[in-house]
Parts: sequence; C-alpha cells; structure tokens
Amino acid sequence: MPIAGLVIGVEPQFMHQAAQAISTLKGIEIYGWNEDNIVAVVESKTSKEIEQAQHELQQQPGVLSVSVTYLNVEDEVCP
Amino acid sequence: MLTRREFIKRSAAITAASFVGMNLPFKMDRAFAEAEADKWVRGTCRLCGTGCRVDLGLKNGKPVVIRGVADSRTNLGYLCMKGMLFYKVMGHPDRLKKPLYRAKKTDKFKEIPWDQALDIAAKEFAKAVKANGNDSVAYYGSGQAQTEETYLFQKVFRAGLRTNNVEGNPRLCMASAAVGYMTSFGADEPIGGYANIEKARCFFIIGSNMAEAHPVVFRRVMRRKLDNPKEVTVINVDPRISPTSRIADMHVQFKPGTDLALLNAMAYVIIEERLYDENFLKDYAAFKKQGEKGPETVDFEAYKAFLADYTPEKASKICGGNVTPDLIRKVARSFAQSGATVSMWTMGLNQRLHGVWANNMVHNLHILTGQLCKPGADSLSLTGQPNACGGVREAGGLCHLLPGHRAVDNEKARAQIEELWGVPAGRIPPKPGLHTVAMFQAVNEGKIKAIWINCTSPAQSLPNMEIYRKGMAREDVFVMVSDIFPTRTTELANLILPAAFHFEKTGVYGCTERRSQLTPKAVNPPGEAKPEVWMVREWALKLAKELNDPVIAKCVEPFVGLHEDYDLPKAIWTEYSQKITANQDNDLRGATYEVLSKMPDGVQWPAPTEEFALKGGTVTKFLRGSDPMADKEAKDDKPYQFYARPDRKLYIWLRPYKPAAEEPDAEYPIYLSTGRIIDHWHTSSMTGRIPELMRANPYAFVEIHPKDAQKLSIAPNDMVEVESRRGKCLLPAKVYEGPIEGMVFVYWHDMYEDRMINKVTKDAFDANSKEPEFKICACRIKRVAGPQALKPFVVTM
Repeated sequence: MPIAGLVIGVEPQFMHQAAQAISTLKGIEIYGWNEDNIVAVVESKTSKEIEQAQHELQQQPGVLSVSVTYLNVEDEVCP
Repeated sequence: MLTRREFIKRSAAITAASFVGMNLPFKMDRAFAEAEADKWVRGTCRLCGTGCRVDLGLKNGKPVVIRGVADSRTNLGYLCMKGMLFYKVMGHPDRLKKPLYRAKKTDKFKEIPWDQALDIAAKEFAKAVKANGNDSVAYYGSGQAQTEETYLFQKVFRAGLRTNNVEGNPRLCMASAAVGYMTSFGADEPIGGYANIEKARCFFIIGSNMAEAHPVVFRRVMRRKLDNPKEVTVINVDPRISPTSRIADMHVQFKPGTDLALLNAMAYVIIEERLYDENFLKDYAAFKKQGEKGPETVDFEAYKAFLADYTPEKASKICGGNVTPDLIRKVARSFAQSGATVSMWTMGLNQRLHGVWANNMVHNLHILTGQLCKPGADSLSLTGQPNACGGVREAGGLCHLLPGHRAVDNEKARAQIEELWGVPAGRIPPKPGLHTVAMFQAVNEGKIKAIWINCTSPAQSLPNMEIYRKGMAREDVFVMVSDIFPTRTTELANLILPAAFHFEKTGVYGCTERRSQLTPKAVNPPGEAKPEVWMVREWALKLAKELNDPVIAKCVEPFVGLHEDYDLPKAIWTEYSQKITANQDNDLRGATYEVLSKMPDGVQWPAPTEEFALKGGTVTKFLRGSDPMADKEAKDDKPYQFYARPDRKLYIWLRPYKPAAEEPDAEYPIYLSTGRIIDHWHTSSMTGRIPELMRANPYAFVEIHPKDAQKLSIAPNDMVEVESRRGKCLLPAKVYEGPIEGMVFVYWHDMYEDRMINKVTKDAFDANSKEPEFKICACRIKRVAGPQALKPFVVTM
C-alpha cells in the first residue's frame, strides 16, 4: 500500500473550494493548509492509484501544481 | 500506540509540511524513522535537466522509499511524479540483461558472453578503420550519460581512434543555447541560476512549457508569483497556450517563428523609451553584426537604425496572433523596468533554423537593460537532460569541442589536451567531426561503417527519421547500442550491450545552472548489465590489440584494474576535474568526489579549490566576490569582469527576422510543432514502461485549434492524418484552444509506428549550431476516421 506526501499549490481565492473538493476524493487525507498550500497524504493499493489521484487533484478548482515530496512503496516492493 | 502505517502517513505529511513551513500537531518518532529504510543513498533525478536531488531509501537492497532533499538548492525537496517513480526502471522485466548479437540485421539476436561481445565490437571498429580510415567510425552519445562516461568515450575516440566523430543528442536540444551563450557572452552556460527566481520581479518565459517539462522549476516560479502577486509579472511568450500560461499575467501568442521580430521590437521599444542601462552598455557591451568575412563591430546608432525595421507596428503585423503594438510596448516595459527579470526558455528557441539568433536576441534584451549579474536578473536557458551541460557541453561530447570548453580547431587547445593525456603530439585530428545530422547522413551514405550509440534512440528522435532509419538498417554499417531497454534504435543494431541505470552505477551529472552533483551506486544492475565506463575501458584494450596501436591502450591505462562500482568512475572524474578543467572557466578542481559526497546539492563551477567548493561554488559568474575567476582575472575595479573575451565585452547582435525553413503554403497549409507532455520523457523508453505514467498518457495525440477543427470537420478523438513532404502519422485529435489557429502540436514520445511524429518533422538545421528545426515545419491534416480504440506501445525484444 504505497503512501505519498503531497504539497498542492492552490490559487488563494480558491483555497476553500479546493480543500473541500479534495477532501471528498477517495484515499486522500488533508493534514494541513496555509494561504495557498495544502499538505495531503494519499494512501492507495498501488502506485498506479497514486498517479491517478495526482491527476484528479490537478483537475480540482484552483489547483496550480501537485508536487510529491515523499513516496513509500515498501509494501509494493517487498510484499 | 501508532501503527506502522500511521507512522508512514505521518512521515509523508511531515516531510511535505516541512517544505512549506507548516507545523503539524505531531512529531516523528525516531525509532520509526530509522526503521523506514536500512540505507539511504542521495543522488540526482535523471528525468530532466533541473537536477532535483533525491534520497533513495533501501531495505534489503531494494528501493522502498523516496523523498526529495529539502536542503537542495535545485528542488528545495520537491519532485514531480515522473521523478518520483524512476525507481520502477530498476528491476523492470524488460531490462536488457545480457549482450545480444546478430551478424546480419535481419537475423534474430542471440545472447553472447561479454568477452565475445567486446571482441566483436573491437574487431568491427578495427575493420572499419583499416578499410575506410579513422573517420569511418563514430560515437553518438547522450545528455543522460554521466560525465565520466562521456569523457572516457571521447578520449578513446579522439586520441585513440583519431577521429572527432564524437557527438551526442544535446545537439538536438541545447546546441543553439550553447552557441548563443558563446556568441553573446563569450562563454557557454548561464551567468546565474535558479537562485535568482526568488529575487525576480519579472519572468519572461519564451518557447518553454516549463510547467510540464520542468515542473519543479515551474513550482519555484509559481511560488514567487503567488507570494508576490502584485510585485511579480509573468510573461509567457509562445504560439501555444500551455499549462505554463496559467500563471501568466500576459500571454503573447504569435505565428511560429515570428518571435524573432517580436524580440527585436522589444529592443526597439527599450531604446525608443530610453529604458536601457546606459552605464552598463558603456562599460560592458559591444555591438556586432555578421559581415561577409565574419563578425563586424558597429555602434549603438547602427543598432538603433537596424531596429527601425521592427517598430511595434511593423512587428505586430509579422507576428499575428494576439500581438498588438500596445502589447509589445507593455511587455518590453515590464521586461526592462522590473530591474530583476529572469528569462527562461527551452526548445521553442533552440530547435529552430535561427535558434542561435533567437538566443542572441534574448541575451540582447538583458545586456541592453543591464539585467545580468544582479540579484533576480538572468538569461537562463533551461536544460532538457540531466547531463547535457555537465557531460556533453563541458566534457567534450560534441564534434567541435574538446573537454573543458576547448575548441577542436584550436591548435593550442589540442596540444594542451594531448600533453595532459600523455599521448603523442598531433594525435587529435584538427578538423571537427560530423555533427548529428551530418553523422547520420554519413551513415546513410555508407561513409560511417561502425557507430556506437550510447543511451539514446536516434531512430526515433532524429527529425525526418525515416531516411535515417533506412541508413542505420544498412548491412554494411555496424551498429552497436548500449542502453537499458529495447528501443527503436536497438531494432537496428548488430550488437546490444546491457547498461547499468542511474543509481546502479556511480557518476556525476551537471545540470542547468553549472552545478555538478554526484550519484553513487545504490543497487546492483540486473543480470550482466554493466556501467559504460567499464565497457569503454575493456573495449579500448581489445581495440588497441586489433589495431596494434598502444596509444589506444594509453587512453585507458590510468584506469586499468579499478573496480567499476566506484574507483573507476572516481579515477576518471579525478583526471577530468583535476587536469582538464584546471584554470578553465569550468574549473572543477574543488569538486572532488569527497566534496561532492558532502554536499546536499553539489557544486557550481568555477570552483577551483575544495574550500570554495564546500561553500557551494560560484552562484554568479563574472561577478567579483562571487566568482573567484572574476577576482583573479580582474583588470580594473568594475564589479563585473567578463573575462571570457580579451575585450571584456558582452555582445549585442544585430539579428534579423527570417522565416522558418519551411513555411506553410497552399499544399501544406498548417504549421506543425512538437514537444513534451508531463508524464513522458524523450522517446518514452523509460516512462513508457512505468504503468502509472503510461496510463496517464497512453499515446500521443494531435492538438488542433477549434476553428481549424471546425473547418476540417474534425471532432475530438477523431483519427487525424498529419502529413508533410517527408512522411505522415495517424493520431487521435485533441480539440482545444492551445495552439494558435493554423498550427497543430504533437507530442513526440510515442514509439508506435503510426504515431512517431519525427517521420513528419524536418531535418533543416541552424547554420551556426547545427541544431535541427523540430519546432516548425509545414503540414496538412485530414480526418481519416472516427474515434478508435488505441493501445499504448513500447518496443520489446
């Protein structure tokens, strides 16, 4: 079950809307936010789903960038 | 009690939060932190030229966790998804694991032992040299090869095989930038670097979709803009609206190729409105034009008169699109008046018939306004590959360049290198070798009889590729390929050598901003795959016997017996950095393996001493107090010392607007341009094998402006034929307001036979840089069928 830490850059005026939309996405947990960044963690069965989640995030209102800062794939590599 | 999964999630969250200065209501438990991985190896990402630093965590020898390096000045800890998934290349089932050989290209490959493979390679190269002379052999390398590899290859070819037929794929992407820097500043590579991004007040992004091609650098630009929305202006100049345009205050959209008129018009406005820096021009600039016999010096008034042909009114008519005289004036004022403008560009300027001119024109604007060597001001060419700068441009990977930024046709430079290598005087031929297009034309003509292609796939990446595929398929040309995966080029090989991937070997990459970074070996390569430095050394020893030429053995003599995991690349780097770069502008003597191992983000040259290198090296070239060579070479008390030229000047070039090699006409009425998409890289031989990335973009498509689509009755996802005078492709349509009306855009990564767009592109090239004009040619399009189910494709054995 890979786990990724993400920093999502959001246009400030869309922050509320983006956070709300992101919180409804499956497997994504918001850990914190400031004026224009959301820190979130994605937990999924495969890293394929993480890539899928990243694409979904990119489509949310006001999202400018999705950067990955951490990826643990231990369970996938060493089942 | 926290479960292990909870702990990992918290690790992920804390790591992410730390990058944006956010505090979370929990801390890491140290015992858990140590259990994440039993070994961490710090290296550089390979999948673009940014130079992002990454920590690869291993458990029982396998990669299990990846995190960005927070104190790295290149990526500040951030990575893109493509970079995050690079570990999947290691241990992929398609990896080449054993040498493969076939005498005829119509035969099937057979696995053979290494010793036999190297024997064949040595005999075939020796046969070519004996029968057809030294220039009948060639090396074609890569901006992904490590510096140690490129350096050793070129040493053996130039001094051993006595040919300058040494080239690399950076000719296809960075050559115009290199010649642009040489002609404008007198020295290759940027004066500044990424550090200026956080100080800039204007970004001039031209011919670059950095949001997709350099997402981590783009994030820095985006942050600067978001943190200072009123103070910072972002100008995006491109015939295509791309994801980069999303943060732009102004998007300048024009007919492909007419940016040459636009850039001159900006210079016109800067002069007309007296926005230039008179003192900077007086102290540091000279004006040049190309005369019949070479460069001629002119004066400011001549430049002003030359620009009279580029008033905003005249230029806006040439440019078309949304370019108005008012927009040109507005852009020029923003550029000039910010006092801290960073220009950034990539292939949109470089891959052009007049790519060097386009580069010169951007530099002109910086020289005119004195926006160089100052905080937040730089003319910064972004590099496409991780080691196009460090390996190919600096270490002698192009046909006209010796290592350490020396010209092949310079007798003194050749003599110096021969002495440093301990080979007889006159051993390196004086004539530059064949540049990329000429090299593969020579293959087509049967003049090159044996070629070693390393870590790149010209059978897919050359423009007008079909004619070059036919050449490489000739039975009288011995084609040898070292790579990690099967590609369109291995399909045309006689001999395939399985190579170690990044992190499976040790070596240095030098990224966009003159920064060299070490990546040590972390895991074993699969099967019998080997580092290229080992291959070259063993091959050279056999070649020396075949040709009965001890000088070939002499080229690798210092490295005999050293283990390929670390000692061998270290010895090669030591020879290169300590002997070859000493007192050159890319002086790397301070950047020893020991120093590079200590630095989170490597060293920027010049860095002549270890003490200086341990502080990070030179942030701003030519600036006294920052660049030790500027202090050493200083001739007066001015703050900037442009020591690259005897006259100490930067050159403003009078360059005209000229059309592309092939403009649309009645028969082929539409512009074609090509480029990258975020999930894929180059010919997708790596990213195409990562299911997550392939799934996101399983095939290339053609982007069509809605008005063109309407005129041609093309609906989204219809199958569309894109045809030029050279060839055609069949691709699904994406209809949207990206490309300007009258232009289509196609991604070039796809390996599928019908979707390789380089069958359609043109192989005309810049007369100065020899870089082909991938970005512009004429085509026609037509709807062939409705939407079809398509499958992703990668070449397999």
